[in-house]
Amino acid sequence: MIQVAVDPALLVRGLLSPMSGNDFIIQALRERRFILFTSKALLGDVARLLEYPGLQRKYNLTDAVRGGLVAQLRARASVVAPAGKLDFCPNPHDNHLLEVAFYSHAEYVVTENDALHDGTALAWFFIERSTRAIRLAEFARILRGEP
Amino acid sequence: MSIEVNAIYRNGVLELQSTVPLREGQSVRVIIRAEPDASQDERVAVMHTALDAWLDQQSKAVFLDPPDYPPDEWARLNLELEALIVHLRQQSSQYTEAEIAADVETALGAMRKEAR
Repeated sequence: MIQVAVDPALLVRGLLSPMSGNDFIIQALRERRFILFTSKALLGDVARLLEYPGLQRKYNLTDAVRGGLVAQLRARASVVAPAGKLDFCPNPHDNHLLEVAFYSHAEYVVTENDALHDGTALAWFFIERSTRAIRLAEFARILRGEP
Repeated sequence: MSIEVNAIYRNGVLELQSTVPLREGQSVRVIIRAEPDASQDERVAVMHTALDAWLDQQSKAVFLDPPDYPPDEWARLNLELEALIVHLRQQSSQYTEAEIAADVETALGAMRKEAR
């Protein structure tokens, strides 16, 4: 089974999306078609995103719903606990994802963060460490078994 | 058989800088070797050193197995997830993928601003 670290923003998009779209990540997680690596810090980022007042109001994210969503991710993921912090990205939230990816030697990091794509030093670094940073669309293709 | 040619990457497409002896529809394997960029190579080298040091301080006894529950526990989890998804879709089904993505980006931007 493929081993993946997913950007918290994409997990939240998946949770909020209607059936036909980005919720393929959540459906694939439900069907155990990949191993999701995460950490307390990344789950905290998911919780913080869901707490954002604009999202809470618009999507009716009550305390119980937010707690339930984070609990679902925690229950279905392999939760790792890296020691110390990496400082490769200017924002600590982005580093949380890298810590999980490198700690767990994930095959893929799924993110739309341009800092990890588009010919940046970090993108090349990922390639050299045998972890591929991919976008959501490519992850969908991989889960469908397409080349 | 192999051939080496220069190419430029534009808008997601590799544009070859010379013609190649291939027939229409022929599959090839592409190995990408970027032109040397001293500053970028140096940054990548620094990252390797930093990551190796960071990995050295990690616990060696790491268990990365995914959770393995009995079938009735998976069934309970699935029911709970379905209930949450039904609740969420009552709201989110009225919005497009693009709107939802934009909303999450706004929340992400706010979270990043707070972290600075």
